[in-house]
Amino acid sequence: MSVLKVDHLCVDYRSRAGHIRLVDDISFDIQPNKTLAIVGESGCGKSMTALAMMRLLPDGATITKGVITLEGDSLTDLPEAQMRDIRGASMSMIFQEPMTSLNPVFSVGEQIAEVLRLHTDLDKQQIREKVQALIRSVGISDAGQRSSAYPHELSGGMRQRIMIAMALACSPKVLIADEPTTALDVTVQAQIFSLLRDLQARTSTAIVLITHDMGVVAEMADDIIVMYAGRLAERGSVETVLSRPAHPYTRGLIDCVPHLQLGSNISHKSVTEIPGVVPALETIGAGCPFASRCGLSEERCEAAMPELSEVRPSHQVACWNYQET
Amino acid sequence: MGLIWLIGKRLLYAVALITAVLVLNFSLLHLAPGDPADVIAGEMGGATAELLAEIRALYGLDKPFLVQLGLYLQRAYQGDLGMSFYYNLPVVDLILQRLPATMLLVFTALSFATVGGTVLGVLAARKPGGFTSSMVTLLSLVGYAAPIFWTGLMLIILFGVVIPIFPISGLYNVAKMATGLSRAVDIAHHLVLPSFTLGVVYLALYSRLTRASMLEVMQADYVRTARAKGARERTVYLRHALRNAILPVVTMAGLQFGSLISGAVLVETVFNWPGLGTLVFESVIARDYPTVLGVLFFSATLVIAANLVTDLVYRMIDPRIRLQD
Repeated sequence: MSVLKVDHLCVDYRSRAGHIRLVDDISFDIQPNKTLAIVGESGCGKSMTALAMMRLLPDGATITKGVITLEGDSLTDLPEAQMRDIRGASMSMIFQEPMTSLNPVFSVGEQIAEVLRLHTDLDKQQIREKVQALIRSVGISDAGQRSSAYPHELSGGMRQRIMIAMALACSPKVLIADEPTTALDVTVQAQIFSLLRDLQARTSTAIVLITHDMGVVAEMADDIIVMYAGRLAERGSVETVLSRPAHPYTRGLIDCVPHLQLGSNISHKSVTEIPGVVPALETIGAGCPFASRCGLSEERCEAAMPELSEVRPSHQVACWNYQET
Repeated sequence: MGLIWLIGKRLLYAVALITAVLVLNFSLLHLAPGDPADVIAGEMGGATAELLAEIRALYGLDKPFLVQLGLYLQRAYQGDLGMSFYYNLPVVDLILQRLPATMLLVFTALSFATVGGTVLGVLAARKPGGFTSSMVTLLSLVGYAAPIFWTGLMLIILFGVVIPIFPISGLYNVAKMATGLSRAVDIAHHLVLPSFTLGVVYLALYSRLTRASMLEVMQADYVRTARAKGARERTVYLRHALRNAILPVVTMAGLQFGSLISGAVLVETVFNWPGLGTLVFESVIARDYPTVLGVLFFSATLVIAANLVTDLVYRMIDPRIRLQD
């Protein structure tokens, strides 16, 4: 039984210049206690997908097609007031920049308490206790003192822990983590991920993890969807997709992860890059958007977008020339 | 602890600054053409050379410049700003008599400008490009461009002559002989036009400042965080954004306190408001140097005090400032 289901989601951006499809026909679902990774380069529509799930799309961007359901209830046509009750309670989100995601003028304890005030009936004393328990639960000692600290008094890793405490305050069914460690040191990254895994084991929250780092995917996720230019490129379980990637883009992303080998000097061969950049969305034609960067592209790739096809059970790819590996 | 230290340090600076102000003003007035003894003699209806010499000796005007300055400073530190040539009263008494009216005017104008400016700015930022926003921008442009004395005169014509609903002169109605509450109402009634005139320029400025600041802050990551918590849009706006957006307004209001006092000179003259402004105006015309110096001394003190208060308010609003010094 999936807790969150995204069905043929399309997000459009309307401006005076015209109409751009930011997210094009994305579908996935996620089970409790599982982690789904959404992978792709910047500008692939990962964050837009996440914001669409929270119904927090920026001005001008709207969900034009598709349905998002949380435990069977549709979120897409929910009135704003009811959506507010879901945000921060059943579904919460942590962001890329812990440095700027906390409000500088309120103490972190106060910012966590606000979530509890919004979504629970706890009294002042209970809220204070719960805030301290939450701060402790994300691995911060001295919760009493830390809760009265202001964001600028804490390190980036600490702030992200506070964000996580805030997001988990009401035991959400789904936690969306939008590149939660991009702004942090590698050692802190590892700590944050192990914290997320621990918390998941305790609360069986489903996690949607947005990242561009295949290393992180291998470490954290159960399932993966790879997005390119707003479309689904490949989808499957992490084991299958990482060991037998079918889409040339997925292969490219995997090859981007540097392998550290002692003894051998790191040659230029060990890291490869995908040539070119993600195309501007308004320039995409009828064909496969990856064609211009793809080593395997041929005439039909330019002509038409490939449908999602089954490589093997629960492993799908959208590529004319996918190779079974 | 840190706060007391800060205030102590500031008071020390203040004494040095006020001494500098006194020396500078005294020297400047001394350099100005015209002899106070002539003026005093003129008031007495003409005088002989002997009488002039007597007057100079009486007021110490015959002593060398540095001696006069030394004596003045010495007395000023003991709270004696000398005798007014023109009013024949101790300058301190004269000023204390007029100070409340000016304070009332200045603080009413300041409150009107900061509160009104903030409210208008917040409204205008709600929908940039919308009707309210355009109206506020237009209003603030007109308000800022119009010189104080012109605004004052136009208001007198409008509300004193065309639609006579507000009194246009003085602090209260002498003929009414009102006491208690009805006197307060009478004064408030008289206060409307002068404080509006004085405040409108700053209202215009602060509404623009708040609007720009709100628009910037609404893009901040922590505003998105507040929405992701499930906070109402009004809470996001007034609690999370405004608290941050108001900081530049506080800074500006503090810095502009001095120009507000000099603006009061004009407004008091236009509306015949019996405050320090009319006093200094009359004293300059009458070459009543001790009074002019006294008023300048008081306004310098007020500006310094206002700056200290601004700093304290700023520390209350923005926790990031508390770490420093």
